[in-house]
Amino acid sequence: MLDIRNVSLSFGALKVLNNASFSLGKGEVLGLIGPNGAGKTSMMNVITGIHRPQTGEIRLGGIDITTSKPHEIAERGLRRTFQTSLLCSGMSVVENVMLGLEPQPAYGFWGALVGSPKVRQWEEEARQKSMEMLDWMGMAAFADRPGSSLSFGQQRLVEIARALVSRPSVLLLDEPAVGLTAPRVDELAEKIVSIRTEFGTSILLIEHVMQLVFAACSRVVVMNAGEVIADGDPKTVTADPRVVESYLGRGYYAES
Amino acid sequence: MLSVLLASGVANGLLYGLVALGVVVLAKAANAFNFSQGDVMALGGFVSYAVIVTMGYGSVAALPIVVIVALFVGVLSYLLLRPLMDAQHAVALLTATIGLSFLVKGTIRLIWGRQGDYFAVPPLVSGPPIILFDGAVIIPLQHLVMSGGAVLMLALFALFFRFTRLGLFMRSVADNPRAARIVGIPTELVLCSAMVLSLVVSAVAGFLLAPATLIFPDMGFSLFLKGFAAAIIGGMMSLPGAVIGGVLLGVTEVLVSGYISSTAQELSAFVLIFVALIFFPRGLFGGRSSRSV
Amino acid sequence: MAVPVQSIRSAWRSGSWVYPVAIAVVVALIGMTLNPYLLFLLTRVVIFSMLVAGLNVLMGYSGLLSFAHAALFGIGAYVTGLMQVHLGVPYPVALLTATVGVTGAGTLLVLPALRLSGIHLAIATLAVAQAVHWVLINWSAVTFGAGGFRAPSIAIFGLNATQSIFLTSLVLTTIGYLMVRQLVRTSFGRKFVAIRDNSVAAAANGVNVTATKTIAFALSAGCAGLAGGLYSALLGFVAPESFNLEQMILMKVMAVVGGLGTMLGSMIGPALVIFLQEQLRDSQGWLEIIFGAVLIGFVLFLPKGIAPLIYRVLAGKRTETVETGPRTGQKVGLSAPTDRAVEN
Ligand SMILES: Nc1ncnc2c1ncn2[C@@H]1O[C@H](COP(=O)(O)OP(=O)(O)O)[C@@H](O)[C@H]1O
Ligand SMILES: [Mg+2]
Repeated sequence: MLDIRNVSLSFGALKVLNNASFSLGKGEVLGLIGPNGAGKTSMMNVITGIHRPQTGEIRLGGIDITTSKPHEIAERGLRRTFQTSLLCSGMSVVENVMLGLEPQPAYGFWGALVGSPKVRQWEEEARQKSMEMLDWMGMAAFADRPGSSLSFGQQRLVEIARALVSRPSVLLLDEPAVGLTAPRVDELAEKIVSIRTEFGTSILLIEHVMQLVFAACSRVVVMNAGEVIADGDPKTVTADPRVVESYLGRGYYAES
Repeated sequence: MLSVLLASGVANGLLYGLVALGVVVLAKAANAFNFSQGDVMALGGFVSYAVIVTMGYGSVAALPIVVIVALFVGVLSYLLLRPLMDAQHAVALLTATIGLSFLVKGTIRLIWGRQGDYFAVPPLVSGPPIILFDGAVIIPLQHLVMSGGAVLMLALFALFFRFTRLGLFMRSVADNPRAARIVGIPTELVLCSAMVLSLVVSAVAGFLLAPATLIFPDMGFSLFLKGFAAAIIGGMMSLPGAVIGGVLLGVTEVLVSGYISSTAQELSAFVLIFVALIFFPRGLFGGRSSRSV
Repeated sequence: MAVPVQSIRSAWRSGSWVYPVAIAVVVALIGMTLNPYLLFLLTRVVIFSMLVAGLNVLMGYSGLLSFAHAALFGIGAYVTGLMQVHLGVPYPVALLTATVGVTGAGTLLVLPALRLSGIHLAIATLAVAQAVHWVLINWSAVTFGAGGFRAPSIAIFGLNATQSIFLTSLVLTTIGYLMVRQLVRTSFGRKFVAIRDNSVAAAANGVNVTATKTIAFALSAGCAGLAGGLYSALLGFVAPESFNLEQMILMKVMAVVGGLGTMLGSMIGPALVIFLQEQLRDSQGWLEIIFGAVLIGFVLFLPKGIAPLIYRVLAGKRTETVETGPRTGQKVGLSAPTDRAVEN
């Protein structure tokens, strides 16, 4: 689905991604792990067009998206959540989710200006779809609350609903479990697995919470200092001495 | 001709540089901008008018009073705007300082507006212009005094940042606000000093400018605009850059006014501001910006 | 009696055109009984409502700071007036040309907005505005310079000049208001708010940030141009000082006082500011002090302006609802859980 080949990104003298390659298969849930500052979020920013890599190539379903704009990539069916972003505070929760459906409403500018019947119909359908999506995420009760009134963890779930409402073929999640308690993390893992089974979405999951990675991912890619240092099934990878050294720490080795 | 033009361009430019210095200090330490800086500069001019012309004291007496008034306005501004001085409120703060600018301007108009439209402040020092190389270079004394005063202010600023504790605090907050907070630098004090300093330096610029021009209540906004432009040209984060930016702006203005037309002078500033913002948002010396999204 | 209140409330919220039109009719009837001076003021309120509605889309909804709208307003007035004076074009044609022209000019402002934001954008638009003002003053051969010129007034249905421009402005403003309000309740409104609140997240969700900013600038410029054209016929005398920075700041005060990001605020703000302005007409100094204080006061203590208070009264209870931003919801806030759910 998604192929990242030899991608490098620098901010001035700082090399953030160094010739990194991996790919995400169709219907796969792939974990992307690594220490803080390894370049995971930067990788996601490069994939979604927020940063343009200096070298390398990114393909989505065989199409080169390396130089596409973020909204073009989103329209091609790749959506994401952010590590630290918040919902739009000026909109209700359901409106935030509706934003995920916006790219091409069936009406144009003039239709919206005069309020044609098409507008009403599209808006109602969009609202319906968004409510269903919220319901699926278990957040329907908050639909009419302002986005900013939710807790950080709740905003995360709404953000996932927003990313999913357009039924993307690829979903990128940046540390969705930050700030969740252990039982909530288990719920989230279940959700992520059912996103894959119910919608057939391929998922790239950046996560520090290993509990979630093990529960949801069939394969794991490990990054360190901008490079991909391991790629394989979770068990094998977490046993790799290099991974243990750079990320999990010696203590982890001893425990397992 | 050229030397007179250049002298006045450099002198005006140094004053823009002072305003720009205020802009940079506030931007660095508090990540904020204050539209009322120009009006406080005007206030500096009016206060010196009051001291020198109305009360009949000398220029020497005017300076400390200008500084005291600016200190007062600065502390008041800080107390008023304190709740808005953080990242989430950047736009609100900007809007509030527009209100502040109106407040200062209105106050000037209330106090002096009834006495006339334009006011003249006598020169700080009077005397014949300095003539060098048998008249090839003529520098009006007034401009020399202005430049001298501005340079002195700049030097004081540099010394302040280098050698005082507060200056050191302000520098470290500018470099890394979070780290500065963690090591216990008094953020409140730094924010307050930045606000006060930026207004004091503007007011002193007004004091220096007043004798060289006619002062009027509405003069402030375009001065702020020029100071801001100078800061942009200088890269927004550098004190010497701000001063160089100011001089560049001042010299451009007088050259346009001298060789093209005096009405085009104001326009040249706006064009320069626009060009600087669009093409050199990181300053003339900061290189072209590269941005994604 | 509770039922009608409820239905008024939901009709208002749902974006029905009935209430704004009813209000416009009442305003028209009242206006026709007023003396010329009061009618002149009322017409100013109406015209500025159109302008501020556009400005609100730009500053309130989309979060783009512009200082150029007084200048755009001025270009609208000048083009409308000068086309009649120099070319003998009839008023409707001049007005239409001005609106289209200013929309085009204002759309160009998106170019700096693509590179700049916040104060940098504000200052860039300010420089443009000052340059426009400079041209108005110095291109005397066409603009008649600093002294200004006499712009023709209009007469319809045998009414006097003020009544004619009043009705024309009221009709156009009502239509414009309804259209803009309709627009901000659709996906366009959500896109505006999204680029304001979080443009990176908006882009990642498929919002074309460039296109959205362009629409916001075009729309607000169109409102400013049309309002300017109406203003020239109202004033009868067009001069640069009606469109200077001071006016721009008053427009900002109108938007802030009414409520940024609310359409209702676009009407309340101009009414209050113009009323206050008339009270303070004799003292420019006090006017500046009071408007300065009002601006600071609202930013500090009532940052959402007056409109949300009115929405709250209409909603009849103090629930936490979205008071600014688009209202696509038909029953916003009425079914929401009132307890604040706790996570973790
Ligand atoms: N916009 C940016 N400008 C400069 N440096 C950046 C930027 N974004 C990220 N970095 C740097 O890139 C490195 C990788 O960061 P990031 O991708 O966020 O890591 P991770 O998500 O793995 O923790 C860090 O050193 C960070 O400071
Ligand atoms: Mg990260």
